[in-house]
Amino acid sequence: MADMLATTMANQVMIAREAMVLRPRRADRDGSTDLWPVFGLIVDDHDLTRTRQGRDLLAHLNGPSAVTLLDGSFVLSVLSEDGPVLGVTVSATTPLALSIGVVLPARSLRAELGMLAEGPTIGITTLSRAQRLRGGVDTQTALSLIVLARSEPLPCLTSLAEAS
Amino acid sequence: MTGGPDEIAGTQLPGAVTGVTITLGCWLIVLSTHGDYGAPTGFDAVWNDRLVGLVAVALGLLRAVGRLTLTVATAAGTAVGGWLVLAPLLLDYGFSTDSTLATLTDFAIGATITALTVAGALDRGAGARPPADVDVVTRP
Repeated sequence: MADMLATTMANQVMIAREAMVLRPRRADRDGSTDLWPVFGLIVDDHDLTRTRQGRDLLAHLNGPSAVTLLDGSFVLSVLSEDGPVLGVTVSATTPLALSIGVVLPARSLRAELGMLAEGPTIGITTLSRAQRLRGGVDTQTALSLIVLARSEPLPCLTSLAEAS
Repeated sequence: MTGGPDEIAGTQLPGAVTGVTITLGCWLIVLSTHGDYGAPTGFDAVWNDRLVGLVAVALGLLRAVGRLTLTVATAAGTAVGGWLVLAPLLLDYGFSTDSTLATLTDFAIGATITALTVAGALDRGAGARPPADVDVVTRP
């Protein structure tokens, strides 16, 4: 309930249109393997235009390509075990001030729940930017089309994954 | 992630387009000052080359500092190069022995700038794109 409250207290709550999982095709050569996999939330461009913070995020995503790692975190929560429906609260201060809640219908993500339980790197991007990611891209492009942050492990997702 | 020490780091063509455009622009300016254009006949070959040379240098510098989008830089480079190719036909270059140097120089520089600009744009559009090394699986 507290997680749900945190999600709804965010400046803006929106529904993720799609989700994606990014994985390198071969072992990372520079050793920064804890970055992967990256779980991406895809939201509608128009949904972001409704608040100032959303517009700032949209402008950042549409700006010059650069890898953005938020000083903050993505906090996962289970809003409903029926489905399931997940909530993701984005809280960050720099380089973008963000307080956004994303509701994620996770019926098609049952295979990814175990990975989400471990607290992966999570990113957020828009439908228009995500178009460039489809089919596979190079690492720099992939990471510059999405705003990233770390997430905390959510052990209850493990049991949810095992139950489903 | 990035190439190893034995791998060539990316394409060098975009930098070559910028460098050649600036160099040829400078060459046009120098030629218009010291070259043999025959008897000057008002605002024609000499001033055309001088102005186009300045435009080419400015274009190259703007490319170098990254103040132009690829579309604008390509359109401008093609326009400058195309104009140099057409200028001897549209302006009074005299079409005599005296104007041979200016005519051939403009043709050569115009064709070079146009070809390099187009090649640079095609290279940036496709060939320079690094190979995909991240799989992206989308879930509805």
